[in-house]
Amino acid sequence: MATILVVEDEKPINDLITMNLKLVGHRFFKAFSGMEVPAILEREKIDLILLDVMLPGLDGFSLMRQIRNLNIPVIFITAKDSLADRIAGFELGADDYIIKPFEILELLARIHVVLRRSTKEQTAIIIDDVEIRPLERQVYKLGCAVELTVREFELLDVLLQNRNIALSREKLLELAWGYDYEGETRTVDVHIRQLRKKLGWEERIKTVFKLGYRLEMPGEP
Amino acid sequence: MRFWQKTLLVVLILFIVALDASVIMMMHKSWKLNMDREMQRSSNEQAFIANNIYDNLNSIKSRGMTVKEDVLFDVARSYAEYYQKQNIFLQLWDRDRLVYDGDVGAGRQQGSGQTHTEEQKVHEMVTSGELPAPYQELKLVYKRNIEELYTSQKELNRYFVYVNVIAGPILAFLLYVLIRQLTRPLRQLSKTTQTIAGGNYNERVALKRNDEFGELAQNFNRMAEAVERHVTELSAMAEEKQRIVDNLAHELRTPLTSMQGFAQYLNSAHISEEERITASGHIWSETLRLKNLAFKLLDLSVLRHQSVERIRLSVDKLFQSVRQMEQENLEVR
Repeated sequence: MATILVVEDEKPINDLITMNLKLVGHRFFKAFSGMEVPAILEREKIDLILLDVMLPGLDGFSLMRQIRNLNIPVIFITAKDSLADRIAGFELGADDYIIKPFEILELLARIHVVLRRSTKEQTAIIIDDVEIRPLERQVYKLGCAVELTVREFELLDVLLQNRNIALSREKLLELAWGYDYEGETRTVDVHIRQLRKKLGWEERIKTVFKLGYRLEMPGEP
Repeated sequence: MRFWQKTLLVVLILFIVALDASVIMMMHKSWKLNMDREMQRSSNEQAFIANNIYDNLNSIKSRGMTVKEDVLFDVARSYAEYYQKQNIFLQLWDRDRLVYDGDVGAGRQQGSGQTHTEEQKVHEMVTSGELPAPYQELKLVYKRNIEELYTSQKELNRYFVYVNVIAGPILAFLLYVLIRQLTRPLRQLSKTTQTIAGGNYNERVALKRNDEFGELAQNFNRMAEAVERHVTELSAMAEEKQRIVDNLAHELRTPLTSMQGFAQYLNSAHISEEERITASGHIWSETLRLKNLAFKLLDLSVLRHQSVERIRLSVDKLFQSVRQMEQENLEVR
């Protein structure tokens, strides 16, 4: 997946973000102040920066001005939710702007959107004997194409984005098919059963008691 | 009606009425005096002429001549012709018989024996009186034209109207200038009041005077200063409160975000024991942070309502305690 730099001075928040990034399979670097950022950018190839606005020393907006010519996508994370601040952020070239307190699923979704926009070719994901090519919207098992309906592929995509995180049936419904989709949560169960059967993922897609479903994958890629 | 308009009108009317009344009274008095003088003069002259005639008649008598009607006529005519040049007409009566009539438009009189004067419609002054004894039966009527007096009075009246017509507007103009000048401080005060009412609290009245207006302006400025100070204090207080609320929002958001996030993480993520401990540890410490924040807020609100207790404190100890508190944070960075 992607390499993400998290610039956040509050250790709990920084941990929270990076732990979740790790869950869904991203690589990450931590920075606790704006000063550390240029060195890390020089050393590493970073796909996305999550940047807190209120930082000790060098604040997020000033840092943004310094690094905007590197053309790395940036999502601002801030407690300031005034319109003026948001406009200032977007004018500096931010790709998105997320306000504390945020839900981690929302942050992951936004990260996904920004990454999909910025990286032209998306690499295929290989899990066990299954290969998923997001760009082609194709899934292969043991080299053979698996016939998935559009709904099933969308559900698989959401599970992959939020891997290792349990998602409720309602959340899956919303994330995969949108708010407007008029279906019952049972529809989710039906599609999950189909995915398990077609991909042989009875063990991978876990039913979590009282919560929903979770696509479980081994730790670091 | 504006104050200056009212003042202008009232003062103008009062002034003109007072002026006109006194002028009219003076004119009236002067008319009376003139009239009296004329009357005095008339009766004097009448007496003088009567005496002269009497002297003449006496001397004629002493020469042994009888005073007959034609003699009387001659004597009267000689005087009448002389005085006619001065617009004075004479009549001589012998009892009820007119002996000599020097007046062209005559026909009226008259006296019942005693000297009396009266004014006539054609503005003549008529004085009649008997000659001294033994000519009591002879009566001299003296008639003098006083048209001149009336003409001059009329002239005076006309002049009075002219003066009124000219002086009225001039007076009104001068009063206007004067009153506008006097009420200028009022307008200035009014303008400043409007400016301040419009929210511009640092406006002041620039009025350096030693009169009541100056005093008013000074007091007004003092009031404006007090208002401005209060407004500034209030807005500073409001700003401070806003800052506190903003900071509080930020201070609350950070722990809330991590607590919410870690709780969700614990609830739904597929994680190892080590990660579980890290996450729950963060939730624990963030809860403590929120608790501290709540207590600090409580302290703050208590402090606001109570006077601050002052105690002596060593600065060194204070620094030491700060160092102890922050050492851990500094090492982490």
